[in-house]
Amino acid sequence: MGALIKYEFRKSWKMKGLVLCFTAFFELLFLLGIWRLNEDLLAASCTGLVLTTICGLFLIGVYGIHILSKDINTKQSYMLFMTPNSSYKILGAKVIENCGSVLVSGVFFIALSILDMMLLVVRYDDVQGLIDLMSVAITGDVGNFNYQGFGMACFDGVMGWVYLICLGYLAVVICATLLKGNRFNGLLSFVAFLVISLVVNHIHDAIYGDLYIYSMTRLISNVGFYALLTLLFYLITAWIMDNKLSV
Amino acid sequence: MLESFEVTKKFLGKTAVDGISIKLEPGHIYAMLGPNGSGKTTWMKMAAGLIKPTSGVIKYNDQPVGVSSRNDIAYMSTEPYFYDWMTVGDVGKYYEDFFKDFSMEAFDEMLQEMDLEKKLKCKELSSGMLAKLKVAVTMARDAKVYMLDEPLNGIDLLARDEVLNAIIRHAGEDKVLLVSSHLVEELESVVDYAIFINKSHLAGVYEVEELRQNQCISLADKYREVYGAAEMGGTC
Repeated sequence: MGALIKYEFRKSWKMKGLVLCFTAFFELLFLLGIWRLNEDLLAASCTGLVLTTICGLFLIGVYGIHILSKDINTKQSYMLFMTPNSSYKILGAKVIENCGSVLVSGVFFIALSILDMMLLVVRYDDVQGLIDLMSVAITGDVGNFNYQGFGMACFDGVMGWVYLICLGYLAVVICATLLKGNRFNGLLSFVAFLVISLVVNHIHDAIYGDLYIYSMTRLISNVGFYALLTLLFYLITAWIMDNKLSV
Repeated sequence: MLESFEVTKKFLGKTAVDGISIKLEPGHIYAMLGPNGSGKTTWMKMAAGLIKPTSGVIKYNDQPVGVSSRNDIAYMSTEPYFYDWMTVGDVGKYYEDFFKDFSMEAFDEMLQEMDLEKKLKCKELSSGMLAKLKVAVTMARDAKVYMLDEPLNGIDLLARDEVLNAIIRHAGEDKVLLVSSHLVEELESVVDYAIFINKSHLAGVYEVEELRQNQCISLADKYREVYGAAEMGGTC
């Protein structure tokens, strides 16, 4: 499994390196802005950091789905499937590497943002207004904000993305197996992706209600819900690969 | 022992392999012969566990081929399949990471014989060099079964000799070697048995020496007879 994970990382390290470079660049701008108390620089760097976080996590996930598609639809598939590893291990390595990267990046970005916010609080006296605004955005109330809650809310978002990546894996595998040879297999698997995500959304709302209520218990339970879905989609995808995939 | 029981593979209405039953025993080199599209590659991929048969089963040592049989079966595809970012050295390292029977020393030796440098990038190799690399990395395994799909394709005459020598070197009492090729004449001196596949069906399995001695016919002429409907042979 270790070797599989190593080679999965090898396939995508350039993309991750690029995201890291952008983050480092905007973080340097942010620190410069803090040092010089330059609000223009701070605004630009914060925007850059937020965009890098969102785009970075999105790109890492989507690139992982692209790699799986390439690994089962091109001749490079032999590199994986001629080795004495089951589909469960092969997909498991991809899930661990890609979703792990998203999780680690997510935690990294969360930690960085908390650190940057703390720096802002220390450097600026009037930053409380901004914190209150974030508090309203996240918790729905002024004064409810705390760093643990903020971290968990972000982690909830990251786990929601991790489950969607696994759903993307399932769609790609359905396209290459059950729909193979169909003229519209790409479109149909995308429709399957949308339908399943809508169904999951309905199930989520049926369990938790469609109103967003901020509480730590709710956030932890949400993370658990997405973790369960990630596991479920991994098992279904690996089973299809094991029984239906011909490369 | 590798054995195929009534194996059939259908792709969207097209039958690529139809009810093929063959038995490959250790200690022999087999040639799998047939025109393009006859089903040789599909059968080999099924035996390597890359494709699942529509019906029938292929067994290695009485167990259906699958994940564990890949430890003992070394398959070389006719198409290049290495990752673009790999160098020749990375390919060897990759095999070393995944196959316990891979020998880096044997790989290095074969690279030297085939005049390939480890630092070369796979995507920059010519088709001939890629073919040599595929053979080198596959034969550097100490596998029980070797299946080489068109190993002589795209390589020059001298390199062909090197490939054929590597095949002979790996022949042993406990090994099965299966080679598919269109270059029947070149295989004739190397193989013990010839498996003819025609239009997805097994057209026959012949012992090459028996063909020469008793039927007074070369493997190439037998090929012409099977596929060209020409009557060959005569007095020895």
